[in-house]
Amino acid sequence: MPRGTARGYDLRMQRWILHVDMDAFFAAVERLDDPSLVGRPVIVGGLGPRGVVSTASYEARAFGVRSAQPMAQARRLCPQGVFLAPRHERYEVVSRQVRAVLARFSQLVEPVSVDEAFVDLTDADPPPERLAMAIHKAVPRETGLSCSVGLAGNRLLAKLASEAAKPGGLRVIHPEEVGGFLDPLAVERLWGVGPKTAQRLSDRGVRTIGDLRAVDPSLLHAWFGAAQGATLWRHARGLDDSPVVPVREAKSISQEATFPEDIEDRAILADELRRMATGLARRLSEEGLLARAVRLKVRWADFATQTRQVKLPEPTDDPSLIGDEALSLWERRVAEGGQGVRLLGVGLDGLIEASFRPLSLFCSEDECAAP
Amino acid sequence: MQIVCARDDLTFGVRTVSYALSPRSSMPILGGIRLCATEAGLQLGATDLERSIQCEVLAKVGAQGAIVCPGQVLAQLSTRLPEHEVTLGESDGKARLQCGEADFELLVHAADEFPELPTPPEAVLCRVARDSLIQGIAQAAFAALKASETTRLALTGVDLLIRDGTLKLAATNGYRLSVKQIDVLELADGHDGTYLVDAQILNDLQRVLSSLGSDEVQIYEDQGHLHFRAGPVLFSTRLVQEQFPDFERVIPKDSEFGLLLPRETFLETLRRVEITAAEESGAVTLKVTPKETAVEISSASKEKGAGKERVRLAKPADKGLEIAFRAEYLIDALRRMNSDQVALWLSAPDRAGLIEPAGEIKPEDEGFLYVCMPVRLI
Repeated sequence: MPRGTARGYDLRMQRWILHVDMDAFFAAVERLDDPSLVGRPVIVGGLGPRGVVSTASYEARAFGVRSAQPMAQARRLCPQGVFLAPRHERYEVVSRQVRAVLARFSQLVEPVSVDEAFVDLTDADPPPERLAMAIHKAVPRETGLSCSVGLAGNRLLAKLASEAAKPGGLRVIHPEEVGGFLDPLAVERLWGVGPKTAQRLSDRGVRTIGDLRAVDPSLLHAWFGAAQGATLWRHARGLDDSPVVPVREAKSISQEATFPEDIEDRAILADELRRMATGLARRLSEEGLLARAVRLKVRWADFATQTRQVKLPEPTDDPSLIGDEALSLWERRVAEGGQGVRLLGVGLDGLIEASFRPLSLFCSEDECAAP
Repeated sequence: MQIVCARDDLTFGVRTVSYALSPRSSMPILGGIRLCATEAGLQLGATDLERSIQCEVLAKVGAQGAIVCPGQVLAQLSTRLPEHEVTLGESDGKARLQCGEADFELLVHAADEFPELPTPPEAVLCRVARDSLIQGIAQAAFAALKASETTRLALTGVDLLIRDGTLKLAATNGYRLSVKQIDVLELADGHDGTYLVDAQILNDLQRVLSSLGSDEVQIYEDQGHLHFRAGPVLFSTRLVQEQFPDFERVIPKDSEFGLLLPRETFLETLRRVEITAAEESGAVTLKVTPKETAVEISSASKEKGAGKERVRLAKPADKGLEIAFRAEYLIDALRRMNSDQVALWLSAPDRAGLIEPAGEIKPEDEGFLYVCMPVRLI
């Protein structure tokens, strides 16, 4: 049995991963529903005073409008644009149609956000390149929306390939092309390299992925720590063995908050995590339960979602311990996003009946007896 | 490069540095052992970037240079070589190892991709006896959490606290704490400091030290690293950049009464009674009755049933008390002690218990104490 990942990949085996990215998705859906918008610059986003651009059509991008830009700035750049508030329920419906198309080609479809998905074509019967072409045609034919498709040996490269294919193209990266493809790209193009990391690299003279490949691993380790250092080293070489995982829902108690505006202030997010931990701890004690694991969910402004979990040394219903774990998950396991947080959630898993209560050594609360 | 050395010397060096190998790392180079031949001799090195181990090996150097061999292959091979001199060199981008009739060509990693290994400063921070450090790690590191089990890094470390001319090692998982104080042979003038090191890494240091002949370990500190030098070996580790909790504060100073227990009997009883403890809590109850010369240890669970057993006390208890602990936490400490008797200091059912060696204290147990929080049964 090959070792490694959830699917039992042999790490040396050539995989084929497809990345599908819908082009200017929100704007394209608006256009689909209202054909009078075709050919005009369409900008979807928050229309309030602090609103930001979620999606700009390619016509609007020609005026310099970008996603995550303040809406006021977008209005100045493109006064003739059509400005619309997002209709998330509608996008979700269209997103499901796209997923249904993908599901016909492979059972291994992992939606990463409302307008992006990975598809594992490793075990596909027709050659992956032919399937990629078929998907690239089927999605617009069946949904009326344009998409960009990347095909490569792993998720990292597949996503970079679909970016290179934008808009509306198809790009395949064969194993022997990886170095040549990656080397000239800016380091920011890699996953996990946000503005902060890019700045720290640039301060040390590292600007392209080729530059990054030449850095001694001990330096990366010292600059960025074990996890991020190793990730940068691997990604610079186009290495990524993360599997395509179809999503499943876990059963447990959780609390989530979607913010009216994306939040970047870490102190506000920390307060929010503490607040949720307290709420969940109350629910535990009301139901006479203890939790053995804590889970954190973060959805970024671009709808990319991360979930991280950690086991507790002892089961607990203590709000401060649950809050500590949620915060340290946030600090240690969530990659720098370089963008605001749209949704934050805390979940508790491994719930058991509270027939006992372990007392903590360093607990400062009143109910915890000082030794 | 080209060297000739004794088989046992190579085996020793490879085994020593193997504790720093990272064969499953996402960076394949970290699964390699670097063999570096210079005028000074042969030096082996390996690192997983958190720790690095370098070991000098006696060798005749024919040609200087460095190669990086796949660590696991070299480790397996070196233990199975026939008893002959080993010749190791490089040819055609491969490592060639010859020993008697055995002749191997091994794939190598690119030597220039191998990370630079840290070197200690000149000034020694302190010197300790090798045996004390080994025992210190053995009696402290077990209380920490594994890095894979938590995101709270302070709980994965052993705090090395140098103060008033002694070295204390402390570790905790938030529910129990072990502390071991060891003597320092020499200390840089007026030096106080605290250094947090990953517990798993210290366990590996303990294994490396156990295989050495030298009596003494020199400790160096610089730029986020701690270095341990003993004989031909230099073991370096990065420090955990976290605040270790103020552990002195939670050591009970004025417990109401102490029980004097025969250590081995107490340990064996706990191992038996633990079997019927509830799966989730692992809790056993200690019942102490005033004037009685025994403590009753019991457990019960819905799934398995119940059990109890009495352990004789060296002298009657002053007070009565019922208190529950996770049996595993008590067992963890008792099985790492050597003295015939232990003292268990208690105050109340929801306050920490303190375990110390008692009676005729064995030298290995000097300076050891263990704090364990109880479990409240509902």
